[in-house]
Amino acid sequence: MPILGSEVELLGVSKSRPKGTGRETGGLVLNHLNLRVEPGSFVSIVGPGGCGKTTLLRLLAGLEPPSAGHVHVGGEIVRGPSPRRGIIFQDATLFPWLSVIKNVTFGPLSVGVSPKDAEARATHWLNFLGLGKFLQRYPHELSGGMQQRVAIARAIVNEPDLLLADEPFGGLDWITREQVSEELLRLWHTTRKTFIYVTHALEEAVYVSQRVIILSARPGTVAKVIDIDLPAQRWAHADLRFTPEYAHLVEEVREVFAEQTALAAFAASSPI
Amino acid sequence: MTIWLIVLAVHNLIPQVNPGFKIPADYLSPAALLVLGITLVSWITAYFARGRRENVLAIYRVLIVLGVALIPWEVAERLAWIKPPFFPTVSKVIGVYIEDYPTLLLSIAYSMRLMIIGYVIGSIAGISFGLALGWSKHVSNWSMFWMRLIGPIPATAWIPLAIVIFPNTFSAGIFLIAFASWFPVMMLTWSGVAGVPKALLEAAQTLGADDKRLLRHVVIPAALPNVFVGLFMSLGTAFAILVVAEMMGVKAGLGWYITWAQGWSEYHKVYASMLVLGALFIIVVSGVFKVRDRLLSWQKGILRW
Amino acid sequence: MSTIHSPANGGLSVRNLHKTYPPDIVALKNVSLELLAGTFTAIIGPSGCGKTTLLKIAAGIERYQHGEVSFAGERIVGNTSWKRSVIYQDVRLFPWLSARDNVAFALESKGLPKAEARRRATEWIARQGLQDHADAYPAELSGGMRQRIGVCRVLANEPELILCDEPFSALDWTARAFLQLELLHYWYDQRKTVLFVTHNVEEAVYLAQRVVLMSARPGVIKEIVDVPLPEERWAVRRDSPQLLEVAQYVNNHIADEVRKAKEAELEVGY
Repeated sequence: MPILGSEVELLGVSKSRPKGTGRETGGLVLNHLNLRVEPGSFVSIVGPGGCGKTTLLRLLAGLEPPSAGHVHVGGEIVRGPSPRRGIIFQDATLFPWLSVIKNVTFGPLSVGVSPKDAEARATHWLNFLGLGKFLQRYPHELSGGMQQRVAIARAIVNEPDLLLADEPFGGLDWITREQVSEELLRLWHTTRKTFIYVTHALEEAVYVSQRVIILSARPGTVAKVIDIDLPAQRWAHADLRFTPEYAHLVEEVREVFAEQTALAAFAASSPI
Repeated sequence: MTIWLIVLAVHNLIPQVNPGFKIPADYLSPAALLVLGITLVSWITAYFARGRRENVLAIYRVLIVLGVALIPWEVAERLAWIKPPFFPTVSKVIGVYIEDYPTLLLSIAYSMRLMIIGYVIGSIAGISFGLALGWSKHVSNWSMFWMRLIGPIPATAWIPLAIVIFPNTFSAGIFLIAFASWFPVMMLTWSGVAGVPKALLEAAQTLGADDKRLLRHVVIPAALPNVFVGLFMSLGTAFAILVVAEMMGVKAGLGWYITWAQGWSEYHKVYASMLVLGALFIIVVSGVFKVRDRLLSWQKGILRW
Repeated sequence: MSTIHSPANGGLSVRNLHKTYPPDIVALKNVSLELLAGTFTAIIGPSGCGKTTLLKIAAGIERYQHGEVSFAGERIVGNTSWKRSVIYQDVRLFPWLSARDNVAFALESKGLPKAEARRRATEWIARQGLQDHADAYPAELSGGMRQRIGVCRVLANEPELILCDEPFSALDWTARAFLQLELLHYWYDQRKTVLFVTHNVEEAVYLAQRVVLMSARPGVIKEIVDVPLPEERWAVRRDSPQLLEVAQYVNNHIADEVRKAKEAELEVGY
């Protein structure tokens, strides 16, 4: 299977924000972060609240520039948003005035793909995600899980080298969550793009990714990287979530996470 | 600064065409000099106290616009393009404050007394009705139609009836202002009560709160933000009705003052008292805001303050 | 394995409970369940299976058409009481009260005088280690702290029946783990009856002595599974084979129900 995703590299990346009001004060959010993601791999990023994982994702997407250091995707420095770095957010943010198929063809049409090709591509991915019967429906007629699937299709139809997801299944109930994350895994297995997935759900991170990157408390750097040695095509193993190997890995991630949140609680009490 | 220097210049240098019967006292020159003084002081303050810059800039903007507005007025006045009595000179308007202040102060006192008593009575009535309507299905079933019918009737339509029913113009005035304040406060209190999230009610119930406690300690605090919206709305109506109410015939008051001055074609007094009315409104609204800030300080984390 | 305490405490008794929502959605169909006093029971099932409805009926905030529901001998007919308190998923702290006052609210509702209520509230909060935040408003607290205060508010009243409506689902791992342990310790010491609704299989098996499995709508009880683990659960590793075995069993039964529910929904074309 040819590897089509790009390599991602962060070198000495720091990000600071001006002091704000409320609980999320400004200051140094990311501190000298170094990270390398192999092309075509599926990686999860977890960490305590406020550790900067959403900020990290935004830097990768090009929505914000780093205060120091470089963000490289596919060998190039990231300078701004691009359809080649697709991103899925927590709420699907579909265009409510467009049908499902039109939502997905929006991206390709914007970059000059012919309407015929755009529709063919969109239909292909929507079918892959099980939405073949809902092409003409409107977002408000769909459940949360289906909307999120449309959002995934919308991101992947642009054939990005890198797919980013920021807690995309947070608003869904647990069953839908499990189903859609399985589909995301199948998608990755088929396309072999580089997937970077930010989540709070540690079990889910272990289930979908090949490596779990745990960030430290604010200011965030990489606290630990844990390799997930579970079989590929995990959706084929119905009992995977209850095997000792899986449970061990989840416990390992939890232990590191717990250490970091203890530090986070400490950091939160002293203003930076 | 330059603007106000121009104002001074226009006022003093352009000769008055057709001065009329008597030369009125010059109040604009000292006023303009005062403004220049303020500008200078604030310039110096802004330079040394950076924190206050926003406040100073705000004052500047007001003064500049004022000055710019005054220049054409003064020019027009001086060259007799606009004539009294409808368009008095700025100096005359300022003069009202200095010459007629006893009457003005008395009027302010009378008006405020009328308005505040009426507003408070109306607000209390509004809050009580709103609570009853929102809390008890029984009450709302029986009264909703009548509230909707009577409420929107403009207070001014009640004047003839009020004059007949109430023994004096003072109590009639209070009734009018109270009526004008009652409806918005009632409707918004009602919506506030109806809008208390069921989740909070359930939480309180499962902690053991009985109905009485629920009403006093959960419904009222939760509805308070809406109540304040109603209070602000009715404040505006109350002020409007104040002027009308005083036209029924009171001893003193700003509304009375305006009507009286108009009767004598002394428009400079009309304008002067209108400005006072505006200033009073700002003061009262700020007062209510301060109360709201204290009572609703818990909203700081949730809303943009 | 599970110790039965004095009958004076009484347990939760549900007999032939039937509940429909208009127009004709059958939430619970002829459900019968007996919870002995002082036991920790979890209920799990697919969404829409009626587990939350059952909890709400026990709390008294939902009425029902047929059946007999009683706790400690007293019938529950849509009446609430501090003796049957609920820990909610969305916490539901009163935003206009500080953390301390939120806890005091519960004690005052029970009937304590103001000063005493405040004193006890301060004690409870200090026991949590949150005394520095006692005067903070909910908007100023993190999600985990809010739920800790929420739990505090319920436990301070020492209710006889503690009803938990997926209380820790919205929290991150550390907050969840911490609160789970707190609840476990409290239950172990005080031996109150706990009914814990959750969708998380691992959580249900880790915390409870028995797990009630509900079917998809209309809700019926499919099975009640015993969890053969010691009552001192905090000593049990979360990746221990016995735990995984029970979790697997529960999950298999749930998976069937989930599949049925999904098929039903797809037919409607959700």
